[in-house]
Amino acid sequence: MLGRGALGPAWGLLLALSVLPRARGVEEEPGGAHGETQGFQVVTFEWHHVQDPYIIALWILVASLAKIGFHLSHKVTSVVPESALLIVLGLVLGGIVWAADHIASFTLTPTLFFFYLLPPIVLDAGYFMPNRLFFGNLGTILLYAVIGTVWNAATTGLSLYGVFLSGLMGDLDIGLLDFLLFGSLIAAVDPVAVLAVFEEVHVNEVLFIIVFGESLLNDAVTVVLYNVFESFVTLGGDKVTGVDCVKGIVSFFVVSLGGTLVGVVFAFLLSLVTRFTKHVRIIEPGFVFVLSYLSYLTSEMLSLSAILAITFCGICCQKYVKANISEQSATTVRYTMKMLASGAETIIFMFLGISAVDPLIWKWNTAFILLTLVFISVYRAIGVVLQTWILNRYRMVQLEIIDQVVMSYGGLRGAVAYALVVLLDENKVKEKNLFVSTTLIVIFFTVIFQGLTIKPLVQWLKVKRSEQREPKLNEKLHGRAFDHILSAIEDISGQIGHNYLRDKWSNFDRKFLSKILMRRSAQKSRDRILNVFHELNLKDAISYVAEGERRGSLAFIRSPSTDNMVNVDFSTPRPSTVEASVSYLLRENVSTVRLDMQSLEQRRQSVRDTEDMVTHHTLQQYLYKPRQQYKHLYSRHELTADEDEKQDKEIFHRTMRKRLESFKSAKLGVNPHKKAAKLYKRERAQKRRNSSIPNGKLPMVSPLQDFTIKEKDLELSDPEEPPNYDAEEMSGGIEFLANITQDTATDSPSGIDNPVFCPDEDPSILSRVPPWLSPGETVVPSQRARVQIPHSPGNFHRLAPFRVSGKSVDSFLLADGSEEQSHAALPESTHM
Amino acid sequence: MGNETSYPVEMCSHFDQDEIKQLSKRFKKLDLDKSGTLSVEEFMSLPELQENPLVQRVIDIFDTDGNGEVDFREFILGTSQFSVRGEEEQKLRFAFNIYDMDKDGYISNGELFQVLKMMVGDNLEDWQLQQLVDKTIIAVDKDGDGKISFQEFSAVVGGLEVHKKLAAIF
Repeated sequence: MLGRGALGPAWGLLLALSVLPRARGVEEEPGGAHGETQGFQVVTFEWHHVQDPYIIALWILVASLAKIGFHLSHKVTSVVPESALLIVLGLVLGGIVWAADHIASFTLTPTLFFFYLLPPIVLDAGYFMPNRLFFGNLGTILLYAVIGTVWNAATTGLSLYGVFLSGLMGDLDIGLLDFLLFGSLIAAVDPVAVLAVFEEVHVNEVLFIIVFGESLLNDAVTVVLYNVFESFVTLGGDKVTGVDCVKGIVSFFVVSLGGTLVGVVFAFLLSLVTRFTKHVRIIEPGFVFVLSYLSYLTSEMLSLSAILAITFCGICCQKYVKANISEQSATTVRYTMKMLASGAETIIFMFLGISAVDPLIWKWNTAFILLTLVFISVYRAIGVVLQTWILNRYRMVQLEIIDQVVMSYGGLRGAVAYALVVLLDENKVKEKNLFVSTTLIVIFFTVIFQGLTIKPLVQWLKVKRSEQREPKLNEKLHGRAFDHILSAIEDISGQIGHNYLRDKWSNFDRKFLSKILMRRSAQKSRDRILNVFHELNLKDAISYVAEGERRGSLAFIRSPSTDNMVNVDFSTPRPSTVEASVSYLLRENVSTVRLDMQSLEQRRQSVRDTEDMVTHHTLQQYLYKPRQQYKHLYSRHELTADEDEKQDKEIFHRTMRKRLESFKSAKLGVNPHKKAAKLYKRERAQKRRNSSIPNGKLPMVSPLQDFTIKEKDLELSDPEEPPNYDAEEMSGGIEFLANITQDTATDSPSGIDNPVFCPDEDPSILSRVPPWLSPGETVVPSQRARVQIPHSPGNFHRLAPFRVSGKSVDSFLLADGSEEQSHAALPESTHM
Repeated sequence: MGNETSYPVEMCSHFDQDEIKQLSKRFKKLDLDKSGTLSVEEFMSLPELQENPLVQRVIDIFDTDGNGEVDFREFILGTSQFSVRGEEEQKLRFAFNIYDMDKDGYISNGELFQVLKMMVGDNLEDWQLQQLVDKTIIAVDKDGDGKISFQEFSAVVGGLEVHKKLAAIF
């Protein structure tokens, strides 16, 4: 297998690695001895010179090669989480090294872990944190992080102590405090492990942010508990007083809030610095990393929670840094962060495996280990259920059973626990080795076993739920409609509810913070960018219309771009030769289609079923996806581009077109009371008219819309004049890019029409072959707007002065009167 | 801007005092020209809404008196239907009205086509979409009149747990 082949050199490296340390010892003496007698040596083998950096580089190389190796087999990686594979690899490598050398060579030292490997991961998590979601669920997250961790620690420690007292564990030199200490370090859910596994299990965003946020924020609790119990153990069990306990509680608040504060201060500094880096673009990315790292170290120095510091540094600086630094720097920052984080995670898991191969540290106590495993799982589940029950009384969006299952099952322990346990002083904690062994077993169990099984578990549960009602055609359709409706409602009432604070914050941010922390150009350009989009849009629209004039009407509407293989020509009848079989569809639509395999398999039997299948399939593929579904939140290993801008653009343009149509109908008095009111209000609200804007427009098919002829004359006249835009003083009213399409039938006076069956339409539509008998042309002809006109968000400025007659006395109409005459001379272009 | 304090809380809405206050702030914020009513343009000034294919329908449903603008009362009543405390039938009614463009109490073939067209865009050709619409109506239409009434709609959609889906956090 290729995988093994790729690892071949890695084995070679490893063997060399194990041989070298010994070789080093051998080399020195002859080198030294010869050095005196031989004089000048042309080439020497200076191993000890480069030893340390060389070994580090080699390990990183091995880890990266291993990653390549894993991904060569897609089947394996879809089942087994990468972290599990890395641990196994580490075990194997450790075994090799030990077999070769009989020494435990490289272990994951706490220093290495806490200073070099953990910060990039946490910074990556903070910088890419979806802020809105995070702060929206902050209450929930805090509850789980704080109360949940304390609960886990206390119950685990006390239960183990209870079992110890009962004598099941045999003879151990431990006291209550030792147990509590152990409980506190094994209780914490680990962000590295959680991320590594959850990335492959696609849960909904709320659930993800809760588990992920919990894993980040529980660091404060873990640190406090760990330090408190460690100092108690140091003092000795009998000397602990009530004052010390109170101090412990106080220290929790100090540590957590202090860490957060340090992070925020450094975020502020970072944003401020990036404001002035205009002339040093090349080193801009460096600031981000250095300052974030400093926040980590500073907080560590002050014995506050370093993870919280660097997390909040990333969270808070996101917005300003992204606004201030250049595009290339932003890309550099993103990629570097991902690289560092991914690399660090790989190394961590591999080292966890390697460190396990050290016979010195192993002390086996079956009862202890088994009971620890049982207790942490059981108590976590109980804790989650209890807390969810409390939370659901205050939350609008309830957390369901399946969410709770995922939360309890996804509480993975990882390297943080290991590093903490290795930090223990074995003179104070006599049974350190037992703790270390148990921690390792626990980590391996949760990462490997739970990581392996969580995905099938989730799928099984989800499938179980949806089996209760098969999604019928109608349900799918309407379900999607509901999602859109809900998105709209949520956006309309968007910042309401517990977002009173959010409103306050964004006000504060806009008035003060942005002024200080964002470059002036960034503040202004927020609007200017819209203008640029605008301009580009127009230019494209102009050229588009020009193209349309040249090429004629309907064919142009349907398939303007040459990329499309499907060229819908209404004049020729569709070839009806091929029956769409499943395989045919599969063959034809490989590139763009995501096949709904389930529906395909179920419906293979009859033609009618095939037809159903096609319908389901097209539905699945072609319905616009609502907002929440397609924006994949966070990925350690990928920078996902926004693939669905297309959809946004399309919807946006469609909306603009509809608005325009209704506006046009208003001008014609089609729906006088409603639309004229809008029109009038718009006139009142706006101060200036831009009279010289050309519009992209299509020649109309139906003779209903003969006013379009006049419009076209007027509007096509000014392709050369640059559009003047009002400045941002426009009171925010939307103004349209005039695009008229066939859909004007929507607002026709004859009521709701089905445009397909408009009498004006080409009658060959009806004679067309039904879809299941036609070749699989489900590749979509892209609408012109989608392909050619770039996305133009936000405030369009109104472009077209619509007028029906030159005799109107409205001032804005009169202003354009002079142009009208000159336009009338233009020839009418293609109009069918 | 209307005095929201003058509107009694028992405005047939599901909101309590705080929520109404917050909604009124939201209303004021959306009302860019301070006219006291929200026009479609003001709704569309939210970038997320521009990308939502059904926004126009939602606004039309809010606008119960059909004057093209949504005043505060319509706003409250409209959003109230999506409160978690709302009743399922109210939400189904809202969803039904999304499709029923001319508000005659039936979803006709043309109306369904229009709304689906909004949701599908140009990914499907018109005749393909028409096939889809025909099949949908055949599947739903129990009394064979070629239109979908509210009862028929509820029967089909009832299994989707609408009241959970159409519940927004206010």
